[in-house]
Order: sequence, then structure tokens, then C-alpha cells
Amino acid sequence: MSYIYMKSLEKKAEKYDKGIKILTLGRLPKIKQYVVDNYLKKDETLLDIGMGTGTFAILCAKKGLNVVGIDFSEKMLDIAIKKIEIEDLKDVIEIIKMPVIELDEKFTDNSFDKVTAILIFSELYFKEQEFCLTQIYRILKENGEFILIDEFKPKRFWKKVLYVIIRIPLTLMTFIKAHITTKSLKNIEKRLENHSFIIKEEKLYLLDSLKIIRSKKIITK
Amino acid sequence: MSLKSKLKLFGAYFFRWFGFSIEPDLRIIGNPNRDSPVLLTCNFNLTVNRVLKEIKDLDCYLLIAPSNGINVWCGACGEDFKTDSVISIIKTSGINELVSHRTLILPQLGAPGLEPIEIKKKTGWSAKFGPVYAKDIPAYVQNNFEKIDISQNEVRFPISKRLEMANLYLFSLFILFTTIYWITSIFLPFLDFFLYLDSILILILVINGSLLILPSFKTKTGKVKVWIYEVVVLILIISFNLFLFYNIVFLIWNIILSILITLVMSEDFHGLTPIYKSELGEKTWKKGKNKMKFLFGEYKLQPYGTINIEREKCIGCKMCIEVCPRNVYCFKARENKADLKYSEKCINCNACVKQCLAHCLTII
Repeated sequence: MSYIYMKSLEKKAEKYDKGIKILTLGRLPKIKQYVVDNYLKKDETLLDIGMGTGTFAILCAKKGLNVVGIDFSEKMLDIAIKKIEIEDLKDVIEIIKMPVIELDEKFTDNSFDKVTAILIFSELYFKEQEFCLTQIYRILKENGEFILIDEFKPKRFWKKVLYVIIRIPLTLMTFIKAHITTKSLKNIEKRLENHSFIIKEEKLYLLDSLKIIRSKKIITK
Repeated sequence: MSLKSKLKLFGAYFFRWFGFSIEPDLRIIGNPNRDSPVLLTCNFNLTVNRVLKEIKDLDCYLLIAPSNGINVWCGACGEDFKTDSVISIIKTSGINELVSHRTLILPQLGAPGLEPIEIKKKTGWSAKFGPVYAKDIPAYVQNNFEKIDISQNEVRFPISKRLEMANLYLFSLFILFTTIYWITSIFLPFLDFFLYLDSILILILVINGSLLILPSFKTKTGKVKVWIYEVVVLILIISFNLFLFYNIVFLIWNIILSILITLVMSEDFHGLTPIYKSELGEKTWKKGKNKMKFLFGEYKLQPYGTINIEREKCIGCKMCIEVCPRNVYCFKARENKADLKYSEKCINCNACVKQCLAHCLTII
């Protein structure tokens, strides 16, 4: 049978880190380090949604947090497990292979201090994102924080143009190397507020195309 | 439909090896009520467009499940259209509140990747495989969710589909060729526009022609089919040069070009069709690899080989008959068991192996 057309390319997990580094012009590792240094505290519990190859989880574990990482890609997790074994952090990082759609079954209410989602939201479709936001709100403790790092389309016109021009070759290079692409998110601030989060801090990188949004769960009465 | 999505449809038509997605969602068709049927499809825009056209007179709900913009069959074989996609759209679309029943109609070609048992366990929905083609859906719904006859199970490859396939292939080779041609023409001045047009004609002649006449050859391998056709093309080229227009440069160039394209086509001619086994895939699988390299990328392979049925284990669940897109199986009512009837037609899509409730099918 036809295995040629429209068979999606196997994502090359072993090249994911490198691919993303190209796509973000080497900034993502620094951004992750910034988040770990400034937003997270020792002994907190953290849920990393879409942990991928585990770079961020390892950074957090080194700082002394208890990390639960979830991802659905077996290949990515294989690499994460290897990395974690090398760093000898098996006791503080728990890995669960599950899709985000099972967030409602696997975790209890008010169980995490922090939830992070790094370049994962843009891979979900709109209704799945809404589902995740509801679930993240549920599993966070009171005053817990949700830290979202993702791609956005710049708002200013000239930045938009520059962004498109720079992105085309970067996307091509990344696609050829690692068979991955990313999409950009829209209007997320408003939607976070709709789900009773309060945005505490926003930081923009790379022509405003990469954003950290630090938001806090508030209880509405 | 907006201009952007229209353009995207054209894109999907010609560049299918990249995914063309539309937003997974719930579509309401007509005026459905709480007992209306719930259908499901993938989120490849061309598929959704065709399904919507066929079911526009029905009153039903259509769930568009996330499959990374890949079509149902390829997505199901390559882990893009999977059980998880179905569970995801059921949970997020809010369909649970809209209908009182829990019966879901899945596309039959999704069978290699979807597990109805798992769907039932996680969502409570009983999933059922409907017909292969969207055009059979209205009749299927009217017939109380039973296929009218066995022909609704079968994948066909009529002229229109063969042309569609040929055009895809033509388009990618056309772009590749055009780029190489005009870059080389900077250094070789005799490569002019006339020769370029002539080369495109040869491309069309070889690619579209070979796919169009595909079923009329009864040889076993795809390679032989393409090369027989290539001989016909060569005779055409030579006689054209002898009787109508003689030019030695054209003659040699056309012969070389048609042989080159034939070489590319013969690599996996049967793999371009939905009715024959992929030869490249089988060769690669027999070497012990579960991935295949072809042109731009790597592709995951399903097991290849001949299908084997352990008949003493068969419980007569008829799942294999229900999902086989080639009607390989028959049902023997006297024994209440299924049996292989046309095993030579099998294309190793692995749907039956995955769906068999008694696990009595293996590929050896």
C-alpha cells in the first residue's frame, strides 16, 4: 500500500534539542535557566507538561525541586530517561508517559506549586488548550503559578515582517534536520484571565516571538 | 470558505506529503437532535472537505479528530491518527452533552491505528467502523449503520484517483526538475525554454501515463510494469523524431530523461497505489528494519509478509471482514469462522491483525 504520500515524517527525537536551539537562535536554554533561577524555589513540587527530552526537568531537579514530567512521545522520554540516569536524578524526577488529555484522571486537586509548559501549548489544538488550562488551574495549589513559554506572532508590523523573513530559513533548516516545526499561539493572555489566572509577569524574547508568561492561580469566590 | 482555506486545499492537493490541517472541532451538520449519528474523521483539510460535501444532507454531528493534518489511512498506520486522537476530541468537544446515545462511527481505514476497546474503556463510547468512502455514508446511515454490501469495504483505484496520485508525484518532480534545470542552464546555454517545455511533456507522459495504465498490466512486480511502459514511451519518442521532427539533441535528451524518471518511478511503483503492496517497504522490512527511507524522509513501517490465520482460535467476530480494505476474507457460516479467500490481494495494512478480537491473525 501507499507508504509514500502523506506519511508523516518520523520526528527525530535525538535531534530535538538541537533543532529547537536553531529555531530559537540558541536562546531557549538561557530562557529555561532564567526561569529556574528567578521563578522557582527549592523543595517546591513542579509539573512539567511536555517534558520532552527532559532538559528543563533536570535543571529544576538540580535546584532541589521535586519534578513530575509528562510527555506522550516514547522516543523523547527514552532520551529523557537516559539523561536523568547520567545526572543521577532518578529519585527527584518522576516520568509519566501520558497525553495531556488524561490530566483530569492522573492528578488530584491542589497538588502542585508550579506547572510549566514549554513549547507544548502551541502543539495542541484550541479546545485541547482550553481543557489543559482548566486542568492546570485545578491541580495547582492556591497561589500556585503556571509558567508558559511559547511562540507568539509579534504584534508590531515591522517586527512581524522581520519575524517572517528570519523564520522561513530557520524553519526549513530545522525541518530538514529534526523534522519538527512549531506553530504560534494567539490571544493567550485573555484566555488565561478567563480561566481565573492573574498574569504576574511577561518577558519577551527574539523580536517578541518567544514569550514567558508567569501567571498565578487565584480563587474566585 | 475563506480564501486562505481554499488556497490551503490547493496546497493539500499538490503537496500531500506535508500535513495540511484544519482545527479539530465539532461540526454540526443540518439539524441534529439527541439521537443523531456521530461521525468522526481526521483533520486533513482535503478529507474534511470531501466528507462535508457528501454528508451535507444528513442531520448529524461530525467530529474532526487531531491527526496532524494527515489523512485517515496514512495517519492510522503512522501513529498520527490514533486512539488518543479520538479520545481527545470526544473529551474536549462536549459531544457527551449533545447526544443521549454513545455510538461513534469511525472511518474504516482508521482500523490499523484505532482501538475500539480502548475507546470504550476510556470514554464509554462504542466505536464502529463505517464505510471506506464518504460517499457511502448516507446509505450506511439509512441502512441502520450496517454496510449495504461488501463492496463498501473495498478500496478502489479508479482513473480519477490514479490521476490524482500521478499529479502529486508530477508536481514534486516538476519543482525539483525546474530548479535543477534553470540552475544548470546558466552554465549550459543550449538548455532553453523550448527544451524545458519538451522535458515537462516527457515528465507528464511518463508519470501520468504509467499510473493511468497501471491496472492493465498483469505482471507481478511494479518494476516490470514501469519498464514495459518505458519501452512504449521510447518507441513513441523515437518515432516522433523519425517521422515528424528530427533533432539529435532532443532525441538523446528525451531518451535520457525518460529513463531517469522511470528509474525514480520503478523504485516503488506499487507503493504509490492503495491496491498493491509497497515493494520498497517489503524489501526494507525483510532486511529487518522498521523504517524506510524514501526521497525526503524516513517512514515507519508496519510488518510485511503473508497473512496467517489460526482457525481453531477464531471466534467468528467478523472484525477482519469488517475492516479489510481488500476483501481478503470470507465468512463460513457453517463453521462460524472467518477464512482467507484472496490472500494474494492482501497489502499488509495490518488492520485485521490489530482489530481481531481473538488475536488469531499473524503476519509471517
